[in-house]
Amino acid sequence: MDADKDLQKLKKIGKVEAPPFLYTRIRARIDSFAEAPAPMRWRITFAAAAAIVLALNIGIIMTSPKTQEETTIATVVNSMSLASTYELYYE
Amino acid sequence: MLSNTEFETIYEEYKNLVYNLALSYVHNQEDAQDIAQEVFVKIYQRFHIYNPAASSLKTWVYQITINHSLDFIKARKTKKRFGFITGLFHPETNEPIADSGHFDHPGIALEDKEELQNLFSIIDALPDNQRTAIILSKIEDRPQKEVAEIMDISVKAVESLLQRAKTTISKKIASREGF
Repeated sequence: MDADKDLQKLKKIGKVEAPPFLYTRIRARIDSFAEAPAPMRWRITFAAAAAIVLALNIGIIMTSPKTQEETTIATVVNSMSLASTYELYYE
Repeated sequence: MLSNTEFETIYEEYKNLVYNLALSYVHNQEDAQDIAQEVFVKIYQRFHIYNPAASSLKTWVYQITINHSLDFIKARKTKKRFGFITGLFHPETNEPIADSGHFDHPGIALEDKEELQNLFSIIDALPDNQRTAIILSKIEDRPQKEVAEIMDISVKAVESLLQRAKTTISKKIASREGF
């Protein structure tokens, strides 16, 4: 088959050495990944901040239905001193 | 996790294998260096999942290199296709954004360059599995049993892939020569 003859040409390809600087590049890449994780103080601070935000959210969710109940039309009318009758003028 | 000494030993053992195999896929030094770098970073990061009972370290290294090389080529093709939408050259530097990969194989003598470049243009157009079978069998000179192990298929399947690849190569060469 012709292909076999042509594929024999691939035997002309010589093996080459990997460039000497390749290891340094790889090592630098690995070291950049393997950098130490965030310090413990930072991790505790972040966890505390997250806990506070979470607690605030839970607090707001728990109290919000009560607030809605109070916010009726009457509350608004009273607080703004609006007229609650159909009369146009107060006599 | 691999110690520095262990990693260095693996690197020294397989650096040329990885680099030359990557060159067989991308045919230029810069891309082969990028692939080799990614392969060794992956070996370092994933060594804990390597199972010596399932395959030899050499087979595992071959598999990672093949997968990375094919992924690299796919990514380059995608970039090239996307380049038609975004523009092929960087607006400020005028440098090509998605280089299709020039032919610069250091293991090929100048007098053979044109002939092998033509042959590679046909091999590169083959489906991934046929291309890998040709590279492992004809360039890496691996026996069919080892090719089967690396590709995780049967020896019969390797024979079939090689046969189909040869048929396609013959047809393309004949059509180029005008027969």
